[in-house]
Amino acid sequence: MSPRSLILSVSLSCLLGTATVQAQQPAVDGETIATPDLVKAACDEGAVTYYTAQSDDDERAIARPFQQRFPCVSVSVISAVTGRLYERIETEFQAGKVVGDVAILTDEALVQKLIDAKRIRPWNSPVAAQYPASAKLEGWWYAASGSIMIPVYNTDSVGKQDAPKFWQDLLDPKWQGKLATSPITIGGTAWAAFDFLKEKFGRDYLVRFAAQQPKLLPAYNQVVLSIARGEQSIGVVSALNEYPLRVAQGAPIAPVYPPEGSPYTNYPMVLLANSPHPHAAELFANWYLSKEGQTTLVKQRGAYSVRADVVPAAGNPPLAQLHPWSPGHVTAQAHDALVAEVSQILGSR
Amino acid sequence: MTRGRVFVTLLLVVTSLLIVLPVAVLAIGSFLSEPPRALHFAFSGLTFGNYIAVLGSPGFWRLLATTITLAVVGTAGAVVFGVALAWLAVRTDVPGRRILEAVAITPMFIPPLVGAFAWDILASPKSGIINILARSIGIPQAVNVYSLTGIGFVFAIYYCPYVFLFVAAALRNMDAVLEEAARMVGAGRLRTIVDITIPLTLPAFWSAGLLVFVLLIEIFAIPAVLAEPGGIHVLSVRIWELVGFTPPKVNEASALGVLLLLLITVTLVLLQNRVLAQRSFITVSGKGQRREPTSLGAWRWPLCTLGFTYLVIAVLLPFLALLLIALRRNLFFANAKALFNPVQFSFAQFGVAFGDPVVRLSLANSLLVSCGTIMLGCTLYFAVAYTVHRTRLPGRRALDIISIMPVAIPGLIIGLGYLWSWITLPIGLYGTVWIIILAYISQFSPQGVRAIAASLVQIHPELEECSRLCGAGMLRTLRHVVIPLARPGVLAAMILLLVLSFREFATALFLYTSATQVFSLTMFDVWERGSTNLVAAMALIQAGMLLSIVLVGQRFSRGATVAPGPS
Repeated sequence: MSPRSLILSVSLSCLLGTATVQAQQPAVDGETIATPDLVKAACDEGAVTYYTAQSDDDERAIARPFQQRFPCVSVSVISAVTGRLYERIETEFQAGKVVGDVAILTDEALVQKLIDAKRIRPWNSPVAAQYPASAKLEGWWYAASGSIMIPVYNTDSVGKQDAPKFWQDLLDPKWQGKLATSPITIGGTAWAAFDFLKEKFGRDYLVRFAAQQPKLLPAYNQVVLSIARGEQSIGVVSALNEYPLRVAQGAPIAPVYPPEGSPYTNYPMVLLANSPHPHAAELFANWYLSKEGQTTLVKQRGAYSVRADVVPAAGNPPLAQLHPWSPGHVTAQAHDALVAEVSQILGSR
Repeated sequence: MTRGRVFVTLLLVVTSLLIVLPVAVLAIGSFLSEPPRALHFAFSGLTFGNYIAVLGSPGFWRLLATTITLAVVGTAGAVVFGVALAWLAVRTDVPGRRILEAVAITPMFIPPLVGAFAWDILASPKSGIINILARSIGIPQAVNVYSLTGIGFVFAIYYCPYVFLFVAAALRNMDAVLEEAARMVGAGRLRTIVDITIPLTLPAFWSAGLLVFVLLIEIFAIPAVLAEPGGIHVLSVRIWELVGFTPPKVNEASALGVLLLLLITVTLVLLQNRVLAQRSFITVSGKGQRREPTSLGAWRWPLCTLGFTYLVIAVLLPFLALLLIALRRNLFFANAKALFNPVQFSFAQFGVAFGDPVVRLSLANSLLVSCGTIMLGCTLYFAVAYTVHRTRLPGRRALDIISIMPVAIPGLIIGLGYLWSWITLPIGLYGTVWIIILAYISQFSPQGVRAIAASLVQIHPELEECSRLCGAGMLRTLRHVVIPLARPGVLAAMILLLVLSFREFATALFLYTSATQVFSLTMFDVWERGSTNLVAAMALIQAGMLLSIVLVGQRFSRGATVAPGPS
């Protein structure tokens, strides 16, 4: 090595060393997310396995700023729908071979089941105060993400004047056979949507909704795609599926924000018990709840953050304006009873 | 003899661990109220409740009837298209038969999810390209893929290559002397086909038909994309729903899997054994072979036109649709003018697909998984098929039954069985690529064993006997006589495994980690995110890659099997 390149490499490593030390400070943009001891312990563990019910690709992009701040902890993302993650978490725990460290699930009732079964460990996040009471179970979970359900229409085939404005407008006979959504059986988000419709407008609404002969497709991305392509005129979908098509691909669809409010589902983030990297998990989870983590999430997915200091994604109105409605604590019996009732009314299997 | 018994015992142990363990765990789980996770069986919760819930759910019998009807329609179509194409390409002098042969199998390289999506783009009632073009010339609706006929057609064209592979292998192995003899005693072309060619290819015909039928019973992607929008419901989507439920109704899903297994095993396998047991299909014997193609005479060009028309509709059209989707920035066009708007076209998605490290990693993982599945799977399947069909060793019947156990159990459920059982085995495979390979080998064993068995039963035992008499041992006889003669069938099984393992994702859903994610799962994730143009670009890359591998493989095999007659 020539003296010049030696000097260059020494100064580079000094620079990188400084950058690493700076990057691993326990505060993010002035917000304390960890103690120095936690950061050190996390770095010693060196890795975290993150189970998420959100898209793989989105989550990897969201984790990138964390990786830049804490290059000593590498994040592995495993994505699946909540039901399948639940099955993995339960089986790994029972076999004594826990792989996942931290998880985001889309169903509060299921998270409660995991807490009761001691599959989740207590967690007091230093940023907990930024989360409203409806978006956390203090000491256990915090809504690191969430989804709002809204009506959507195709702007090529439906004029703005004809577009639905209220939830009741979906029952207009002109939409018969031109309406799509997903069945209640696909997960917590769909469950919350049907619970909202029944609680707000009564059972009769669901009967009249069924009379509209809605197409029930197995996933929300299929519902949005069929509306965007003009196969269906309107539908009820998760805004998370609607947003990337509307904003990134310029699909001819527009969202409707009914003044009666819209169902909002919390996606709780939890720390898994007996996990191999508990400190790295806590550091990652705290960062995910921080302003930086939530801002990245909002930009990447078009999701909403319940934190008041995080602005919504471009093209989305503030969450408060949408009058989000949450079902609150739900028992397993009430959950199953609604599934049976809605399946019977809508004739889904 | 003792060595033989040791060999069979070893095979029984391996297949029991690979197949019986996960399937038995699922079967026991279907009678419990709590899932048998990590082999924890709560027998206090013994119940028929899962079966009562499944059988008593409203619309179950209609669901079953629709599933079977669609599978029968699809299988019939696939068999007609596949046999006709295989015969044209392998046994006749039709012009362009080499191209016919290469192109006929390409639809199988497209994942069913993407294939269904391509047909959705082409033939959905309102926004399908065919209907948009038809409307521009005044026809309100030309086609509707969201119908029983539409789905049956898509089933048929995506599963016709499987029939083609099996039947073409059998036809290639057939001695033309038999056809020639029929012609010499005055039988016409049609009579020769009906009385000689078809009966002699029956094992392949049955294997292929059964394989396709079973695959169509469990296929999820095509009905999810095309049947649900038309209000047509099938069992596979129901199973998917049960597992996606929160909390997942895995015990009910297992019960449904067990019911499907019973239904298909009892009826079809008995039927197959009965049909196959009645006749001899030996066409590869110690006498020399002639492989002259049948002369079609005046029918050459009409049949050529027919064959290529089918290929244009079944292969070229959906490929063009995928190319259009991959090149267009979005999928949203209301009329013919918007469809071809040049502003919308770009090659960017191919760059994204090749540049993404996750796509590259999962592609490498898929190649590794496929390679492992083919190597280990084919060795195991050959050993099982040979023991069952060419020996009289005790335990061979048990091997036969074990090898078909995973039939009709959807991959998602097999993956669940592996998660529940293999996580407890003290060899630490959970979380590695090996558990995915083993689950695939287990899941594809009915297809793999049958593909190899179909070509083994065509070989006359006199060839092996002759070799043994000349002093060659069993291994040497296998190496120099049986394997070379069964090569077309083994190659068909390898191609089948390559394709099945490359595009399977449901089995891996419970087993993968970020380091072992496979290509099909990445594609599924991209699809769920709505990046349909990236999915199309990835599907085209996959199809191109698989096709190249298969063409090179076929070329290699042809080179290696020149004059395979016994020496």
